[in-house]
Order: sequence, then C-alpha cells, then structure tokens
Amino acid sequence: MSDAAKLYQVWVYLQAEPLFWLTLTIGAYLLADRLYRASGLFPLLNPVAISIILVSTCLINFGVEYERYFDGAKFIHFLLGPATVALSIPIYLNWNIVVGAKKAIVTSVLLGSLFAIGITYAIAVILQLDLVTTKSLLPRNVTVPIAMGISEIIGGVPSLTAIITIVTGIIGAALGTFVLDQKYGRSRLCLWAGKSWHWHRTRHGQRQRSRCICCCCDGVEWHRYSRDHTARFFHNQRFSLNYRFGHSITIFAGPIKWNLATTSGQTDNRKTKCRIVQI
Amino acid sequence: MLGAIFTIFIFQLAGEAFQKYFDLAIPGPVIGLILMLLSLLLTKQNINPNVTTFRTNIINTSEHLLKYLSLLFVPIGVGVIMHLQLLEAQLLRIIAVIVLGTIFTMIFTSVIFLKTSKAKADE
Repeated sequence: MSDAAKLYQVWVYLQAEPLFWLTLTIGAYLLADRLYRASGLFPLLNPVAISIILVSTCLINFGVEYERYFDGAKFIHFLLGPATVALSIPIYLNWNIVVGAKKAIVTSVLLGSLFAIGITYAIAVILQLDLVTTKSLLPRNVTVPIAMGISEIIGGVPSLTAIITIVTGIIGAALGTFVLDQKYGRSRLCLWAGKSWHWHRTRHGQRQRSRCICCCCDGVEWHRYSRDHTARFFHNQRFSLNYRFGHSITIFAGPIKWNLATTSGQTDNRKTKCRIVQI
Repeated sequence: MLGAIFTIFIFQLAGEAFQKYFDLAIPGPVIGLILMLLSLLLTKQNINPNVTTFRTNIINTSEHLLKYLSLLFVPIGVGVIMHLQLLEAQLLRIIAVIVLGTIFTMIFTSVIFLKTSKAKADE
C-alpha cells in the first residue's frame, strides 16, 4: 500500500472520531484568540468569528459534512448549558448593584428588547427579506442558545440565527463605543440591547466628581470606589467582567423576547405588523 | 472542583426538569440559573466554614467556565456552512438589517437607560 493511501486511511479513521473535531475547534479558537490579543483587541477580529471562519474553511475544503463535525464538537456545545447556569455567579457577585439599579435595568432591557425586535422587523420588511430569514433575524438580540430556541419556535433557521446573533454581538462591540461616543461626547457605552458595558461620565469637567452611572456601579463615586478592591476589580477587568454580567442580563431579557416573538411570529403577517407597530 | 461541577449540573438538571414538567418557554439552563442564584442569595449570610469554602469553589469554577464562554459558541456558529446559499443571496441586506438595527437599538436603549437612571446620577 502506498504512503498516500495509508495517510488517507488514517484520515478516514480520524475524521470519524470526536477527538479530531474537538482539537480543530479548540486549536482554531486559541489561534483566533492569540490573533485578537496581538491586534490589541481589535473588535472586527472577534475570536468567535475568526474561529468560525477557520473551522468552516477547513470543513468546506475537506468536504466534511456539518453533521459529522458537530458529532464531535457537540461536547463543547454541551457545556453551554452549565455555562448558562454559571452565569448566576456574576449576578450574585453584583447583586447589590443589580438591586440598586433595578429600575434602570428593567426598563431599558424591557423597552430595548421590544425596540430591537420592532426595528429589526421594520428594516427587514423594507429591504424585502424573505419570511424565513426575517424570522431568523428577529431573536438576534438574545444570547445564542435562547435565540436559537426562539428561532425554532417561530419558524426561522436556528443555525442561521446563531450566526446572525454572533455577528450582532461583533458589530455591537465594534460600533458600540463609536456610536455612543458620537452621542454623548466622552461617555462610554453602558447598556445596549440588553448587554451592559461600562459607561463613565465626567461632569462639569471635574474628574474627581465623575461618576460611574452604569448598571454595574450605579451612581457610586468613581474616586471613592476605585480605592475599593471590588471596584478596582470591576474597572480593571471591566471588559471581561461586564461582558459576562451583560450576558446574565441578556438572559433575563430572553424569556420576554421569547414570548413576544412567539406570539407575533405565529400570527399572520398583517397582525404581526400591527403588533410591532404597537410596540 | 468536582463538587462545584456537580452542583452546577444538578441545578441545570433541576431547571430542565422544571421546564419540561411545566412546559415553560424559558429554557432549562436559565431556570437552573435562577435556582442557583436564589440558593446563593438565601445562603449568603451563612458563615459556616464548609459553606463558605463550597461557595468559593462554585464561584471559582463558574468563573473558569465563563472564561471560555465564547469558545462554546463556535460549534453552532460553524452551522453557517449549511446556509451559504441562503446567505449569499441576501448577505448585504442581512448585514444592513443587523448594522442599522443594532445602531438604532443602542441609541434607544442607552437613552432609556440614561433617562431612568438620571435621577440617581445627578442627585
């Protein structure tokens, strides 16, 4: 038997094993993550997006079916459930802040969610996207697993919704600071589409009077807070920690959107329109 | 570590069971999240050394898991290769919806957030 034939045999054996796809997925992610860090956290080099592109390119080039890949990668996918449960930790650690800013969080998440569905539907109708694609777009502002569930119920394509949701996150991260800086001068984005970020504001040009009125350290003075260990933790790691915290908040927005999208998705088109306009 | 993983699994399991039994629209893991949050809050005052150690364990394990949260989205994301045709036909329009929708939503939500938290911030 020639070397090439032998190599092919090894490949046939390996590609049927989960190990290969797990290794590929983690490898692609590590590479993408390194790239992201090397670029100084450039938003368009989002590690999830890059690793999806890397893995997809491999699969297409090797002519491997998605089902076969997922059969191996499902072990990573499985961890999404426990990770969702683990999201209670950021809420627990930030509980005082959640309670302190409950009004702002609840109102903006609730109204923001409704607005997100409405505007998505409106633009999709204006651009004449087909119904299945529109339905896949509607749940795009919730975290991925929930968005996929909604998509399935209302008759969208769950995996299309997954990629749309991820792209929404990437675009939000890329545009967020820019859009909100345009609007509020030196301020930073805090809460967007149910995802929280930090938002600081310097008032009357006095730096020591500046306050952080984001949902994480609502109304607490920044200079006093920054001496505090917890706060330093917030501010030093604000990107990662608040991103997680934001995820927790997003999850609560999920059921609301779920119900809304379900009711509006199952009625006929004109009714949906009315409902969205009402929102 | 193992005990913490076990606890997280138990909460997810309870959540899934709850969801199936009552036929709720909220996914099982989210119910698990709420249950775990409630248990943590209810035992917050407990200073029994065993309990505090266990709590620290759960917090550390969860933080570890959440550190790789974005990796967990890769397998579903790759599912995009099944919809390349659908995407190809409408790619620009889909991107337009996402970009415009996201910008409007961001502005809207931040305005609402500022409006509702203003009283507190300017006091």
